Amino acid sequence: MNTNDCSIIEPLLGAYLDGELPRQAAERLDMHLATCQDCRAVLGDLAETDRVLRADPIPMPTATEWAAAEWRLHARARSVFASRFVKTCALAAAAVVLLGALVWLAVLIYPSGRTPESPGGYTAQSEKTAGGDEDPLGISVGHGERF
Amino acid sequence: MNSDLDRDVQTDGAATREDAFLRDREDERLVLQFLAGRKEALGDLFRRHRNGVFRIAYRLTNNRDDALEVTQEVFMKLIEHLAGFRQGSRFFTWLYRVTVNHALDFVRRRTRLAAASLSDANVQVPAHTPDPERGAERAELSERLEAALGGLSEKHRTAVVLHGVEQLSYKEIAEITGVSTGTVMSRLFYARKRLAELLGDR
Repeated sequence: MNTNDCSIIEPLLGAYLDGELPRQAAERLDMHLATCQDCRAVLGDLAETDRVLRADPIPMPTATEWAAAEWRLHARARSVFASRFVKTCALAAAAVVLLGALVWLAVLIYPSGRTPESPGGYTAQSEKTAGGDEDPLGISVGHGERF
Repeated sequence: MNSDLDRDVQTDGAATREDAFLRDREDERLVLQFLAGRKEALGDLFRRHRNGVFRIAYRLTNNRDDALEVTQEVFMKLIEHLAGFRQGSRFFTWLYRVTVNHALDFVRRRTRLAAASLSDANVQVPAHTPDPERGAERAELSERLEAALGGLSEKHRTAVVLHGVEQLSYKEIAEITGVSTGTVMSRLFYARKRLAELLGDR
């Protein structure tokens, strides 16, 4: 960094004032400022704006105003929580209705005693083929007789 | 209720790294409690941060009533959007980002309304309506400062307010405004230089 060039030094003066410059850079600015009146003047202006900003009081809300704001906030939170609760209940109710409808549909399609695998009420494998005797392709190895 | 929560949270540069860490942890704990259904945690968060939010809103809107309205609306938004808060990020930078955006929107809306009423009624409306509560008693310093701040661009004004009023570090301002610390440094320098010129004009 050229410590004699004000155009390079000047943009760093704010960070210097705020203690945001690395130590080495700050030391170089120290050296420059010791000899440069123009940069010292800019630094003074920056410090003055900070002083004015901090000196001007902000008219803060009163305790009553804060209490009213907090009350409104809690009212809103209650309403949001309540609407979320209603939404959750509605979703749960919809899920129960859907499940009930599915069960009812299943009962209608598959009356008592029947299952999807055995529409006639029998088990999946017929008695005739249970032992592999009536294998339609004739390749059953059930008894090792018709290979 | 924890009385510690009633005091304003320190966000200024004087706070130690440990203080900042504890503050952020406590904020995160309260956010999680609120999300888990403990509504009182919202009141705790409100009391911890209301002053900082109000100060930023006041300096950006230049009006006490508007600042109070912005503060209220920011915390209202919080209820709806807290679920989107990313764990591990800092609550106050997130909250201040919402505050800055909302306050600037508020000012833009107010300016548009003033312009519309001016064209409708063809009457002179001041860009900034003086705060009636402060009225004639407003210090000259305040008037000068408010006029000077009003002469800055939104970006410069935001940087000056976050740094000068809340005394946030460059890194924190960068997090809030979504720019690099180098940009914050540049904005703050030129904003303060311009502010010094505007303050000197009067």
